[in-house]
Amino acid sequence: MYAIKRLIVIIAISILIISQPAFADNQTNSNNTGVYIKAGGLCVGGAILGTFIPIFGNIVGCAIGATAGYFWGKSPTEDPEPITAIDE
Amino acid sequence: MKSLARFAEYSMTGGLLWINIFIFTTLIFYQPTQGQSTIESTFLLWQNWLNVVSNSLATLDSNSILRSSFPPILSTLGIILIFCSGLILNLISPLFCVPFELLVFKNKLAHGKNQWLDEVISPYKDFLLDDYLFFIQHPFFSLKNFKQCQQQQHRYNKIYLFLISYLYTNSSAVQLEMVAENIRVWRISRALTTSLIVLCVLLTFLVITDSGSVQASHDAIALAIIIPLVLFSFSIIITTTMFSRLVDNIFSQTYQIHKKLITHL
Repeated sequence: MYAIKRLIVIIAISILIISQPAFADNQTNSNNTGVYIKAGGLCVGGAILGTFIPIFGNIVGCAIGATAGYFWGKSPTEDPEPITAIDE
Repeated sequence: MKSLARFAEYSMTGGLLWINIFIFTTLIFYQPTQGQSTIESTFLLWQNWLNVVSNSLATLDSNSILRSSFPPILSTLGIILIFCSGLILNLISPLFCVPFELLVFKNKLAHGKNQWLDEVISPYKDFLLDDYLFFIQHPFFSLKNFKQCQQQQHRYNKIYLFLISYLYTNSSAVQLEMVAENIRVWRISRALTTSLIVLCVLLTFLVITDSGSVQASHDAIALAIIIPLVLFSFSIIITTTMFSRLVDNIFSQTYQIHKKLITHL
């Protein structure tokens, strides 16, 4: 059980590391939404496919699906500029 | 008669799988049209498909023999395809259903008032007792021993088949008919569950196709995340409920036969 908790923490940290930076309201952020939806969809799909080994298979399937969805959904176009400091 | 029942069973489950695939294909090719409702756009899409099929068949006009024999051949191939799909669903269904069935079976076996089961199994201790005790006392999955998952599934199959063969050896035809009917229903529910799971997985892959049905982000979240999760939960409920009913039936029949054998002795 302790190992499963550790695995969940590692996956959560990985998601935080690969997550996108914040953007200003006037900039289009639809591309990032698409990435997260694709990652979320494939995460659910992977988790369902991993059911044949309960718990471990679900977690691994979810992680693999989310990673695949993230890299699949990442657009090759330039990302918008992150928020810069406001100049006085 | 049994082969006819099996044919009907496979046709039903295979048919449902193809309905699911049809729903998925519609979602992929669906394009919302301005000024038309969702239903109208969907019917328009199906109408386009029908036109494509009609145009393809119209090319057979030149050869009259082929044109007359083509529809029956197509129907036969369709029936064979549906039957084979049902068969494949039945073959792959243990992959997804056994983990949940195993948990239900273990809970039922570990129930405090099942000492009579120990009495049933104890005469066969050289064959089953060790597996039976290990199955009850150990969890399904262990990170220390990855093979335990597979081993527990083997034990589950062994105990389940032992109880079925015990029933078949000792019970009357009427009792057997009840169990056989329950097994048939359980097998159909397993195949239906698997076809729902296939739809769940296909739906989650819908987002990477960039189809017209997932233009808005809330549509994509509903289609690729919420609906698959709901369908998956529904399939788990079907599996556990049907298997629980089957196990209750097997246990009650086994108990009665066991008591009858004891009183006769």
